Amino acid sequence: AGDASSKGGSDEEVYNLRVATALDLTNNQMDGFPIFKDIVEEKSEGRIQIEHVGGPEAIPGFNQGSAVSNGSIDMSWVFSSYYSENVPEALVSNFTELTYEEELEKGSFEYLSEIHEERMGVKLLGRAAKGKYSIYLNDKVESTEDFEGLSIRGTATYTPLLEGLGADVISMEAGDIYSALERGMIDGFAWANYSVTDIGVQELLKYQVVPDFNTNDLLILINSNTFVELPADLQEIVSEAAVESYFEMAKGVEKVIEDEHKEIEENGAEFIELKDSEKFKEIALENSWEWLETKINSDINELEKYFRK
Amino acid sequence: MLHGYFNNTHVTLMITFLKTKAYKEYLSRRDIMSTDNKSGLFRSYSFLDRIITFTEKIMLIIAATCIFLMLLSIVYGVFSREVLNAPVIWTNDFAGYLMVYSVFLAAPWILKHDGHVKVDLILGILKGKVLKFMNCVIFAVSAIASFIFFWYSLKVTLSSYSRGVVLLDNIPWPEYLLLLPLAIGTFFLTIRFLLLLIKELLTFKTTANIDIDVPEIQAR
Amino acid sequence: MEWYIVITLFFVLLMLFILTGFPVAFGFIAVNIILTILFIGLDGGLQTFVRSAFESLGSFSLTPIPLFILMGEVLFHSGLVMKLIDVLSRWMGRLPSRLSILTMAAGTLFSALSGSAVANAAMLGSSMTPEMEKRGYHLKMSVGPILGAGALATIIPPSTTAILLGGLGGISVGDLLIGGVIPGILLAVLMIIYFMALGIFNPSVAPVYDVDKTSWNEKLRSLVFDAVPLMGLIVLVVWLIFSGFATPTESAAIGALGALLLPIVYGRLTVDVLKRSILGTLKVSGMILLILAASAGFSQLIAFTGAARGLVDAVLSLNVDPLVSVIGMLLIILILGTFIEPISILMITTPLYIPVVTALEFDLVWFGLLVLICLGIGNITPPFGLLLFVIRGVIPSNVSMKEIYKSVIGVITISLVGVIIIIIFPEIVTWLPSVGAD
Ligand code: NA
Ligand code: NA
Repeated sequence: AGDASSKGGSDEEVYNLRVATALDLTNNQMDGFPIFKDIVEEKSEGRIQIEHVGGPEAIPGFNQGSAVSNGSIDMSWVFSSYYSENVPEALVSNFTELTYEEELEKGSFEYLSEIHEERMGVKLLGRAAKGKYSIYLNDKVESTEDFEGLSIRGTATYTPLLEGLGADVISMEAGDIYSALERGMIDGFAWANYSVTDIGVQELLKYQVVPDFNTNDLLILINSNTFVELPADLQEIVSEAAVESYFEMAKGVEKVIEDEHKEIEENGAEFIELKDSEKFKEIALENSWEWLETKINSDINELEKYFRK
Repeated sequence: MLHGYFNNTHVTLMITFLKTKAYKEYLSRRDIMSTDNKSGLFRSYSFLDRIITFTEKIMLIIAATCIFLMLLSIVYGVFSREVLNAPVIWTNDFAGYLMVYSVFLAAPWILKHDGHVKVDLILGILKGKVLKFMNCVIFAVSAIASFIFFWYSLKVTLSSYSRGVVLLDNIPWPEYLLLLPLAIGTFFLTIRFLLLLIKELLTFKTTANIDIDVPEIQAR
Repeated sequence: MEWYIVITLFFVLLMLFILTGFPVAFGFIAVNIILTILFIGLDGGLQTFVRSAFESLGSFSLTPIPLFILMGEVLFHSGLVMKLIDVLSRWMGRLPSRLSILTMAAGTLFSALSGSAVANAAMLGSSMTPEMEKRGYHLKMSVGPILGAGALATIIPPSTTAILLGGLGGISVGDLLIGGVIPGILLAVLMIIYFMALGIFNPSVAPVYDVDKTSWNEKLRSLVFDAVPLMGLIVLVVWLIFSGFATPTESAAIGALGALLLPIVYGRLTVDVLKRSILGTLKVSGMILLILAASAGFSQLIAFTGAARGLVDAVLSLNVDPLVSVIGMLLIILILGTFIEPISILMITTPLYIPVVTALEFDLVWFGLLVLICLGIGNITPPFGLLLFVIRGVIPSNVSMKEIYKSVIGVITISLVGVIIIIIFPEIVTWLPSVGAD
C-alpha cells in the first residue's frame, strides 16, 4: 500500500495513494473526490499524491470494498451497499435520521469505522456525497400500493423499502441499468436523487417518484495499514480533508439537482407525487431499520444510539 | 490454426473420426505404449490418471446438471411471471451462479480432452522432441498459473467463509458457496496439467507422437 | 510508465503466450498474474483478479451463452436442421448456381439456429460438397457459400460472439443480437446475388442440371412439417428479444426448451442425442467462458494502469476524421483475424476500443456489429482462418489449401463491401433495435 516503507513514516517520504471510485468521475456524486485530492495534496505540500486509478472499469464497483480491504488499492469512494455483505452495519449510513453534522458530533462514524476495521481491515473516513434517494419508473404509480409486482433495480440500500412496497428487487451495477431498462427487464430503478443523467437513462425515463427518501450512502474507505503507515500529521490531513470535501461538494448539490430536474423534464419525464407520501417515507425508514436488525452481527441499540433521533 | 476449438465444437466430426482407421491406429499405438512400459513410474502415473479422470467425470456430471438447472430456473422465472403472475426474482442470480459452477467444474474435463482453444501456429510445424519440449513448457507454465489462481481463489473463499459473508440479495446465499467452484476447478486443472506434463516427460524418449493432430477425415 | 509502453507490454506478453500455443484461457491467466503482480501487487492484486473473474461470469448478461449453445447442439445432434436442406431443395427450381444458393440459404438458417460457425461449416461441408462435386461445381461455387455463411454466423442471432462482446463492452446484448438481423440478411442476399451472377455469366462453374419435379403437395408437406417448426423457433427467439417480452437469457432458455421439445415431437430425442448435446454445450461454452473469466482482470488492468485513458487521449488528439480511427480499429481486427481466433481478438481489443469509440461518440451497437462482421471475416481469411481448415477436413476430394484460399476471395470481398455499406449507412444496424425499444 502506497510507497510507505516503515510504520509511522518519515517527513521526507512521498506517499502515493491509489484511489478508485465506484462511479466515473463524470458522475456528479463523485464531485467531492477532486476537492479531496486538491485539499490533501495542497495541505500535505505534495507529501501525499492522490492517484485516481479509475472507476468501475478499473475495479468493478461491487469489488472495491474487497480491493481496499486486500490492499489492491488504498482508498475508494464507494456506496456502502456495494460491499455491505462484508459489513451489513455500513448500511446504517442510508437509514440515518441525523444530519452529517450531528453524526460527526456524536462520533457516529468513529463507531462505524471500528466495525469496518474489525471485519475488513479498512477505516471509514466518513461520507463522500450529500443527497437522498429517488425511484425512477417507466410505469405510472399513484400511491404506495401501485409498486406491487414491479421489477425495480436496487442494491441493498433500497431492498427494505422496495420489499416493503411489494416490488421485486433486482441487483445490478449502474452500468447495466440502461440496457435492462431498455429491454424491459426492469420497470424502473432506485438511484440517488441526482446524477441520473450521468448514467444516461434520462431518454428512457417516464417518471420520477416524489418524495425523495433516506440518505446517500457514498462513503470513503481507506486501507487500515495504509492509514497507520502515514505520519500522524498526514493522517490528520487525510481525515480532515474527507470531511471538508463533503461539505464543499454539498454546496453544489442543490444546483445540480435543479439543473437536472430541468433536463429530465425536457426529456419528457414527469414528477409524480405519491398520494400517501408520508406512508412512503415511513416504510422507507421503519422497514429499513427492521430489516437492518436482521442482517447485522452487532447490537442494533448501539447503531440506534448513533444514527437515530 | 485452432486445434482445440476445432475438436470441441464439432462433435459430429469427432464421432466420425472415432470410426476412422487413423483413430484405431492411434489406439493401438497408445496400447503399445502402455504395455511396453510396465515400470513403476508408469503404473503410478496411470493409477493417478484413472482417479483424476474419474473425479473429472463426476464434476462433468455436476456441470451438466447445472446447465439443465439453469434452463429450468430461467424458464420457471418466465413462467411464474407471465403465467402465474407471481414473479420470482432469484432465478436470474441463481442461473448466473450455476453458470460459474458449470464452467469451472467442466474445465478440467475439457482440458483432458484438449478442448481449450489454442492457436497452434507454431506447434503445428514443430515435430518430435522439439514439440515435446514445447508441450512440457506449456504444461508446466499453465500448471503454475492454474495453481496460483487456485491458491488465491482458495484464500478468497476461505476468508469469505471465516467472516461469514452472506449476500444481502433476494436469497441470502453464503458467498463462499458461490466462490467455491473457482478453487475446485482450478485445483483439478492444476493436477491435470501436471499429469499432462508427467506424460510428456515419461514418453520424452519415444519419438512416437502420441498426441494426434487435427484429423484428416473423409466425409461419409 | 507511459501508456504506450504499458499497452505494448500487455500486447507483446499476450502474443507470446497465445502464439506459442498456450491454451488461450491459461495464456490469459498467466499474463494477468504477471501484470497484476507488476502493477497492483501480489496478494491483494491476485485476490482482486480472482474476484473479477467470478464477477465477470456471475453477471447476468452472459447466461444466454450456454443456453443458446444448448439449443443449437440439440437441433444439430437430433438431425432436425438437416431436414431444412431437404425442404429448401424441394422449393428451389432450376436456378442458376442452384446448389450454391441452396448451401448459402441453408447456411444462413443454420446460423440462426446455433452460435457455432464451426459446426455449421462442418455440417454443410460434409453434406453439400459431395453433391456439388458430382454435379461438376467449381470449388469457389461449392466451398465459397459455406465459408460465406460461416462468416455470417457471428452476426446472425443468436451469436455467442455478440453476447460476449455485449458483456465485455457494456453494450446492450439485446440490441447487438437484434442489430445483426438486417446486416446478416443483407450480406446473405449480396452473396446469393454474387453466386447467381457467377453461374449466369459462366455456367461452367455451376453446370445446370435437371431437378426432379416435386409435387405441390409434397412441397407443402415438407414445408409445414420440416421447416415451419424450426423457423418458428428462430422467429420466436428473435421476437422475444425484439419485443422486450423476455431478456436475452430468457429467450435463450425458451429457445433451448423448444429445441428439446421439437425432437421429442419428431421422436428423435434419444439418450445419445441428449448426451452428445450436453457434452457439446459444456465443451464449447466452458471453453469460451473460461477465457472470459481469465481475461476479466485484463480489461481492468488496462484501465487501472491508465493505458486505456492514454490511448483515448491519443486517439482524440489525432488530427483525423473520427471515422478514420474506427476504420483503423477494424483493420487491426482484420489483420489479427488472419492468424488468431475471434474470441481472443475480442478479449484483447474490446477493453481498448470501447473507451475510444465512446469518447468519439459513435453508436456502440453499430461499432459492435462492424467488429462482429470483421471477426467473422477473420474466420475465413487465409492463411489461418479456422473455417478454411474445417472445410478442408470435411470435403471429399483432396484439395490443396491454396485452392481453398482462392475459393474464398469472393465472399471476403463481399463481406468487406458489406462493412463499407454499414459504415456509410449506420441505420442498417441501428434501425431495428430502435424500433424494438418502444
Ligand atoms: Na448465429
Ligand atoms: Na483467421
